[in-house]
This record gives sequence, C-alpha cells and structure tokens, in this order.
Amino acid sequence: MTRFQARTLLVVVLAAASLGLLAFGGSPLLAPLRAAVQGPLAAVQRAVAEAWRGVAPQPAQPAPEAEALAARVAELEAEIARLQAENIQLKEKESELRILSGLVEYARSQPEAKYLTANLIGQDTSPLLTYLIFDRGSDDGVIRGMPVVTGDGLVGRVVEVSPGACKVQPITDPASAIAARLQTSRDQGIVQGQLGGGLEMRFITQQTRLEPGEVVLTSGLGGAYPPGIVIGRVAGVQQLNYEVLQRAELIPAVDPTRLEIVLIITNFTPADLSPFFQATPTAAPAPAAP
Amino acid sequence: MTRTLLIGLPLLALAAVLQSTVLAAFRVLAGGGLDLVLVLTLGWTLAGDWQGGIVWGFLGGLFLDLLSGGPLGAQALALVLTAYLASLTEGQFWRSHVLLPLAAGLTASAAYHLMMITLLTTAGHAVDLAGALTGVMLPSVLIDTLAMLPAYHLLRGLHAVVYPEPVKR
Repeated sequence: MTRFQARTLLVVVLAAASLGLLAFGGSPLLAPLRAAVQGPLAAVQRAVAEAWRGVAPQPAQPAPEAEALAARVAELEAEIARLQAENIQLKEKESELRILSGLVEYARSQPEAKYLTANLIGQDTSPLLTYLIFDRGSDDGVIRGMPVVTGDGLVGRVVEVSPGACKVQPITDPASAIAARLQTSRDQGIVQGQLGGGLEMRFITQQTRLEPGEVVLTSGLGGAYPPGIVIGRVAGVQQLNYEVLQRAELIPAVDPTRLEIVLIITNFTPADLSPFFQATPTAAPAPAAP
Repeated sequence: MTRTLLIGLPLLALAAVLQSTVLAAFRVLAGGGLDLVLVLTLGWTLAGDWQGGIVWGFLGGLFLDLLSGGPLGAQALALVLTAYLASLTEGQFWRSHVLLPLAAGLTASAAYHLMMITLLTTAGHAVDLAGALTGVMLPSVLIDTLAMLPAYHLLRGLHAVVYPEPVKR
C-alpha cells in the first residue's frame, strides 16, 4: 500500500466515524462515553475559566534603590501597586456582589421556584453557534429543559447535560421559539431568536396596539417555560396593512454575551406534549354482518 | 503515531478549552476569531506528519464538538477533510517558501468555514449565510492566516524534536 493510499484509507475511516457520530451522536448508547470525556474536559474548562476571570493587570514591583529617596519612591510605588491590585479585586467583588444581589432579589420575588446558581465557564467553540456552557450538571440535579434566568429576565434553557456541566440554548439563538405575551394588552405571540442576537415577536394580531417599551413575558403555553418571566421590551413594530399579523422587534432583557452567573430553575419540568402529536389510533373495524 | 497521539491529545484538549473560554472573549464582528485547533492541526500536517495531522483533525474536532451545541462529529469531519486537503502535496509545495504556510492557512481556513456552514445548514441549524461569510468567515480566515506562520514554525520545531531526521551517511 502506498503512502497516498494509506492516507486516503485513514481519511475515509475517520470521515466515516465522523459521519457515524453525526448520525448517532445523540443516541443514549453513546451518553456514558460522552460523559466520560466531557467530565475531565469540563473540569479543565472550569479551571481555565476561573483563572481567566481572575486575570487582572498586575503592575510590576519597582526594584529597591540604594538611595533613601529612591527607596521611598519605590516603597510608595509598591504601595500604589498593591492598592491598585486591591482596588481591582474589590471592584471585581463589587461586580460579583451586584450580580448576586440581583439574583437574590429575583429569587425572593419568585419564592415558589427553586434555584441553583451556575457560573459561565465557556461559550460555543463554533462562532456560528451561540450555546453557553455552565458549571452545573447532572451531579447537581440539572436536567434537560430547565429554564435559566438572571435578575433581569430569561436567559434560555438547558439543552444538554453532562455530570459536571450543562449547555444552554440562549433565547436569542435562531432555533429558539418561546410562547410569549405582552404585559399590557395580554395578547400572545411567539418570540424567536434572530441571527445576530436579536429577538422578534411574531403572530401578533393586527388589532393589538403595540408601543415601544412594552414588556414581553413568557406565557407558559406549550409548557416549555414557566409563565411570567421577562423576555424583553418592544423596540419597534412592523405593521403592514396587507398582512394578517404584525411583528415586533424586541430588545432582550438579558444580553447572553455579558453573562457571568445565572440561576437555573430546578423545580420546573417542561411538559412533554409528544403524546398529543402521535397518530390517533383508528377504530377497530366493525365485525362483518352474519 | 503513538508520539503524535501523546502530544496531540493534551494539546488539542487544551486548545479546544482555550477556544471556548479565553479566545471566545476576543471574537470580532459576528463571532470571527482564532480557530486554534484548526491552526494546530494544519501546522502539524504541514510540519510533515501528514497522517498524524489528519488524526489531530479528528481528535481536535471531537473536543470542539463536545464543547459545542452543534451536532457531534461536524467539526471533526470538517477538520479531517481540511487536514487531508492540506496533506495532499505532502508539504512539498507549502514548505517550498517561508511565506507559503500563510497561503495554506488562508485556503484551509476558508475551506473549513465553508464546510462548517454547509454541515450546520444540512443538520438543520439556522445560519445567516451573508453574516456567516462576512462576519465570521472573513475575519476568522484573516486571523487564522496571520497565526499560521508562527504556529507552523513552532510546530515544525516540535516535529523535529519528536521525529528527528535520521543522520545520512
């Protein structure tokens, strides 16, 4: 076998393996294997994310000089550097406290729900996709379908879980669709993610009066999300006289690109509506007349 | 091949994690940025380990897939095919001039992103073609190309250490 043939054979085998994964990657049979690889990978990811989060510019310590004055300057510079580093750390803590206060405030306002805090440890490795990776997984009781929120509103929902991490599809993902209602008029529609990170509310009747700034909430229809979570605000309306329905552009309440800590609602289980979409059994044929 | 795997496994796992954490913070326009795993795979392929480069593409792609919400196997397939395309000349062309790895980086990065757009669209993911081409592919190709030169020379050095040339008598 020539080198070229060997290489071509290798490519064919690996491409076939990739295609096999593409076809059967979601199979439950592969789940233990995925978990075995994802576990250590998530641990490394968590460590790198924490190290990266803690990176702050550390000014170099000045070298001590022989003369007293230079020594004093060096001492003061060191003190400034220490205070600057401390100031950066305090600002970081303040920012973390502000986020946590918002989350506590939100949790207090919705006491019926149970929450689990999660830290962002990664984003999708493909720039064409928008999934987020958090440091909570099946070991913490997280399951597929759980909603994810912050104090400002809805982030998305869990779409994949490994023992130590979970992947979340943000509401701004183009494949995301949420049953929603307008806070003032109570009219309903569907909020879909847009390419580029925006939101659009569709299927709003022409009779609905839409005002910029109006709050849009989850309606709870479909059972995928609990009702009453803020999705965003109306930014613009597209109302055409020849169309049956109108659309509204929304500003998301949460910017998924600026997340650090979120809350996963753990006592909400998405409704399984699949039995309603299965074919209705046909009536048994009537017995033949004697 | 054992040495290729021993170096590749930890290096590519770390590169995939860095791509998901640190490098994700430096994305420009609609998400364009450095595809570290692609650059490493390509660099190793051009450095002379043509079969090993293809295996690196598969492993690196799997790590990327595990840290992505996309279909498992998509990035692995795209990287295997990209490494294979880069290996076709067995380095004779790309290594004939110091700047030619740049051209290899440009061609391979463009091919990789086009394959990813095709695979994700085929798998049912909504991809804005215009945005993906101008906001993701264009800046990524540029950044990958610029990163290719230092990466290639570093990996060529590493390759020489791992697989030293036999002394000719």
